[in-house]
Amino acid sequence: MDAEFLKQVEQFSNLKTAIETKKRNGLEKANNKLIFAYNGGLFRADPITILFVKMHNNGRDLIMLDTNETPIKITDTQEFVAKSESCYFEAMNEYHLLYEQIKKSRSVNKLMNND
Amino acid sequence: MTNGVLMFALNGQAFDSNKNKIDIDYVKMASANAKNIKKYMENNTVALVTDKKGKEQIVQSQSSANYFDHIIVTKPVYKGVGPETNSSINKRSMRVGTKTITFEWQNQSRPDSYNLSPFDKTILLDCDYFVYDDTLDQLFDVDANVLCGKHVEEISYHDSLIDYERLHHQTIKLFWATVLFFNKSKEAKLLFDMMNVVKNNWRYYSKLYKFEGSRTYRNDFAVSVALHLMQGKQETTAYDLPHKILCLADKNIMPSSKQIVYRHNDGWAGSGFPKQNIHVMNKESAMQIAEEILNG
Repeated sequence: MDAEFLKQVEQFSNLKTAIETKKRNGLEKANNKLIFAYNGGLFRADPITILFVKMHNNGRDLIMLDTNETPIKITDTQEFVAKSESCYFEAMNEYHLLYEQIKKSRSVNKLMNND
Repeated sequence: MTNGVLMFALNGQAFDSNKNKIDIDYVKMASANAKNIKKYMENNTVALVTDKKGKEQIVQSQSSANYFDHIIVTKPVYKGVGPETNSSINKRSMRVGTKTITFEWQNQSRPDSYNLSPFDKTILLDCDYFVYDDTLDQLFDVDANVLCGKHVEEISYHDSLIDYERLHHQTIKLFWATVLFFNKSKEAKLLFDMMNVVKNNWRYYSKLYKFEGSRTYRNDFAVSVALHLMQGKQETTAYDLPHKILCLADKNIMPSSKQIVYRHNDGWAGSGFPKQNIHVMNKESAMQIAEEILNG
């Protein structure tokens, strides 16, 4: 009984590891897709950045630090938000689709052969 | 303003522990990558630096010739006694799945990229860094003169090596010359000139920065030292490329561009891989993927 049970655990663990590996690589893909250029700087389209720029009072200059900690003036907040939201939705929709597909996978073979 | 991608490809031969010969076809890898760059990137003008034989190989395969906009022929001169100047001494051993192969590492001309690039803005790529998306296009809209690969992750997530982060655990952070953006500027010229200084004084810098254990000349090390000096010997994020460079370690295998096989619990395990840019360090897998792209 123990040997059979341990075999089941091992099979589950192999599948779980394979799912997590594919999921993490999907996340890295999404994270790279979040990076976009604006006004000479590179930014990450994360929810905090999007929300902060959206909430900004247009009466004041908005300076944001880019990924290299360079201060960049956001000259057109609407354009910045449109660009960042476009990156965010594309990356997250793709990641979500991938996750929906892999969470249903019941074999390593399927995980390896699906796109 | 011209934008483009630059790669280097000099074919070589590797030998496994049983002295069996394996051809490492970098020209084929570069051709496959150029095909993908044309397909996935907006800034998709491609230049290749190769030797006479490499150019002949491309011309013979008409389809490959179509993927390159510039073919720059160089004649590497290997002289001297150090790994930085002589490829027959600059040998590198790598695991390829279960085997170990050893081959001449012909990478000494990379510091000449600044002079060789026909572009105003260049992304210098290793030819085994296969492009499957347009994320690098963003670099052409940046004000920076130099950005270099800094964040690296191995796609099986089984190793967390200090070797991926630092030249040595007591010294400076490691940049990966796998992906290097530069434009024609004083700053970028200084970087490549400094890389040449490091290359030509390899023993001195290897002692200074504690990588003398490495008998191989590596561009990653040369660029790391050069960027460290250019930052005033401080660690900043000024030259960090924000993108994460995903890589397949040489000991792991990619049977295709969407599959990985890796060591797990004393055996082998597998998983799928969502298509994206990937640095394939296992040379056999890199050649398989190149074949897949060219036949696709």
